[in-house]
Amino acid sequence: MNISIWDIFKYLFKWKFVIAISVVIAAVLAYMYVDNKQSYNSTVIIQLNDKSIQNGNAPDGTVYDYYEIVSPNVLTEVIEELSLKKTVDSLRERVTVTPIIPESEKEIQKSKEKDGEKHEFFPSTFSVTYKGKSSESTGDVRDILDSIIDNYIDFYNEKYSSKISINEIAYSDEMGDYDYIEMVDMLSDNISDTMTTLNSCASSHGKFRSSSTGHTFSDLINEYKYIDEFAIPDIYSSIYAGQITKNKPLLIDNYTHKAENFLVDKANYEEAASIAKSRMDSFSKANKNVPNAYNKETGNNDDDLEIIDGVYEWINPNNTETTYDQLITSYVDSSIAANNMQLKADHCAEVIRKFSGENIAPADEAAINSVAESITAVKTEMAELGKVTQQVIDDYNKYTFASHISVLTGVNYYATMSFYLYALIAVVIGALLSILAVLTIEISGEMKKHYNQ
Amino acid sequence: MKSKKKALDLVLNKYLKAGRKTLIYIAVAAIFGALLMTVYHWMSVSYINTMVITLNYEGAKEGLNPDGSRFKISEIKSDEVLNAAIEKAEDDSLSVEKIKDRIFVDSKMPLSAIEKTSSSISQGSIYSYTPTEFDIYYSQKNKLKPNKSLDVLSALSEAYKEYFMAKYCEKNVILDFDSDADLSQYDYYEIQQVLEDKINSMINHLANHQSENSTFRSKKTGYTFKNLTNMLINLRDQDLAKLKAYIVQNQISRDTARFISKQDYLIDKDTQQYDTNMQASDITNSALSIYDPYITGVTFIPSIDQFDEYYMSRTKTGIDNLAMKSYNQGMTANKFKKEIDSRLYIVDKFTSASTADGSHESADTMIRDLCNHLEKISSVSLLTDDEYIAEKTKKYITVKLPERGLYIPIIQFVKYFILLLVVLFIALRAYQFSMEYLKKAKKATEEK
Repeated sequence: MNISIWDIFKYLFKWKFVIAISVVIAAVLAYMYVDNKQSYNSTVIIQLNDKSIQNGNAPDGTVYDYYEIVSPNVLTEVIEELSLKKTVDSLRERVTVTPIIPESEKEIQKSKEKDGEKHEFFPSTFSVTYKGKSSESTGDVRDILDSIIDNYIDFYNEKYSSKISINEIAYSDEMGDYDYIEMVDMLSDNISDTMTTLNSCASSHGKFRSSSTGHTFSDLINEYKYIDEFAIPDIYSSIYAGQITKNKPLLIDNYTHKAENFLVDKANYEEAASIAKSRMDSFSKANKNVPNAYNKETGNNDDDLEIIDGVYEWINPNNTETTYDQLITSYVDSSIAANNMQLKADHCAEVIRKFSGENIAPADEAAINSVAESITAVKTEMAELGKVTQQVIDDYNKYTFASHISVLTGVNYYATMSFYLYALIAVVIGALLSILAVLTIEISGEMKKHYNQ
Repeated sequence: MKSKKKALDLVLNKYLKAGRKTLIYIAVAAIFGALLMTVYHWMSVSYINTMVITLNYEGAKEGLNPDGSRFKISEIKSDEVLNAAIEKAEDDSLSVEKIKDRIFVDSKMPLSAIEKTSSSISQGSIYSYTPTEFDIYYSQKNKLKPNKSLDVLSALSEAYKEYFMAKYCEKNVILDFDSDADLSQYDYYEIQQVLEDKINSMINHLANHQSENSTFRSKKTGYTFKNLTNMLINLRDQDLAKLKAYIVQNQISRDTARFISKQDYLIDKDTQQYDTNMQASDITNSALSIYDPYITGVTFIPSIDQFDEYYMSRTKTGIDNLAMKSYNQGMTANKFKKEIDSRLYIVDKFTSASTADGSHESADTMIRDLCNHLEKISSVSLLTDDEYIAEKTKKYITVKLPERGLYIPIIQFVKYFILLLVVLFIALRAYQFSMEYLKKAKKATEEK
């Protein structure tokens, strides 16, 4: 029995429809398989811009671990935001964070390793990928990764960025039993703190204008200044002029006590300054006779000393102050603090003097009510201004936070299975199998015929 | 005619192994099937609409909002935006929960952008690709109800634009001034301070815009920013300065004793601050004299100054730090001294015997005139600035919606018809083949 190549073609032509149907069925099966098993991944590249990251440290000085991108703090927020039916762990295992290391660094590392040296490189650019399940659509994987990055940026800024904030006083709740002068002191201190914060922001970002309220920091400073220079002094002068107080003896006792405490603190600071000074002197004396190249006196056994070249000390940039300088700084700080305590004690004495004056007519009820109303008006104004200020500061924080992490690319998604590849494979396999089956049937038929003959 | 029919039948039977009737049945089935599939396709496609949002402002390519904060396209699905969109769409059947899951966001960026960015960074160069175009899809759930997907999308686009502009674009409220604003709480001297600060704030705002676009001229008002700032500067340096002079020289005050009392308080307060800072400066300064110079050697280092000229620098010691600290404390004290001197001058003017015959009425008139003038400048400034901001921000965010029109999927119908024809024909041939095979097999068995 001889079967030629033409016979094979003849057999294939005879079964052409079967082969065509098999190929179509294979393609359809491939489509169904891919459609069922298809999943999508999403990827984004982010860059951390804080210089400390390049030294392996977070902005607060602690060691930076880039896997905090998928920390429970972040993922919990993601799950809540998107109402996902997932656990933190199940989400976490689907996210990979890959540092992008420049080729040059890899080369350096290789050559250092050859020399047996250690080379540490801390990457600041990362590729974050979320591997979606087959049940998750392109929109799902995109939203999940987008949410992870958004929440990580918030987390990073919350943890490491110095968030500007103002001290808010619950004006109605926190001033109930205070005396008038104490309430005004609190308001005045709060204004002072707030203006310090605003001045600091204005000096670094003077042109910043809040998109929510339209105010700059200077505009807010002006508003607080009006309260501080117009309303508050008015209240103080009324209080002093009429010795307006809820309880004069208690007030005087309180300020007397404060003054005495300030004087005690002053003595304490003076003692600290004295200690620092004496140690400075001892340190100086001890070091004067130590042989050194700078000692100009001769005959001290150091005339031949030279400055040694090539000796490098690893400098910790956070600690470059010499011992002597630390001592003198301590002396100055303690002396200033002692002086400030004296000034505060003097202020308390002045208040006592004003309230102890005997030539002042006691304030009438109208004057007292006027002071109370003025304080209430200031509280109301400060509460409203506080809301605007907080809004401006929130906008400012968002503005400064955006500089810490850059998203270098948008969130992109891609299919993990290529339909065309699978279809091609299925079509080829389908065609081959059907051809094989057809040839088997025909050849076995021919063989049977031949044997029968 | 009959011969043509016969020839046709012959062809059909010989080549397609199917009679005319069979083929007619196949064609009808294919038409019916194609119709059903086309309707399904039409319902799917026409109930999904897409709009394209494009960002075009400084910072968009870095993924930022116009105010410098981080841009988040996901905000288009926020409750605030969706509620506003539902209100605009005027459809009571919609709710945030219903449409939130039907909105899909996709950014327009090629996958190669990720690879290119990654490889650029690997090679040490800087590259980034942040998308500035986004596709927003809305798919109406109930395909049996009237198609309102485009209306919802249109409402969403308007709501999002308004939200974006309100939240992230600049505001010029600082230019607003009402001459009827209540200034009665302030004394006359304080009023001129308030007005001066207000004018300065307005000048700052307008000057910023002038630096952005110095040639902008409003079509409504005809003014440039330079015109407006000049008007304000003149108001401040002429009218306001005269008001201040009148108040001070004529001791104009609502309650002089009270005013002086306030100034005295402020002088005391500033004096405390002055004393604190000045004494701190003195203490620091005194530390310089007790600093032992022999404890530290000083080395001179040749270096280059800011003019690129050789300059002999020196190592820094604690003396440098102390000197600068003392200086800074002294300068802070000096600022308070300046305030003290200014207030002492005012107090002196208000307490000295005066032969001036100024009156409150004249001061009130001057203030009223100044406020009216400022209000006029304010309204003109607002018109000009609003026009500038509108022009500047009009292309910040553009939305492209699909055009309304009846979608007739003829091509789709034809495709489905041809596909069904082929499939049905193949199915028919498969059936015929299998029937023939079974007959042969049965015959062979019977013969055996």
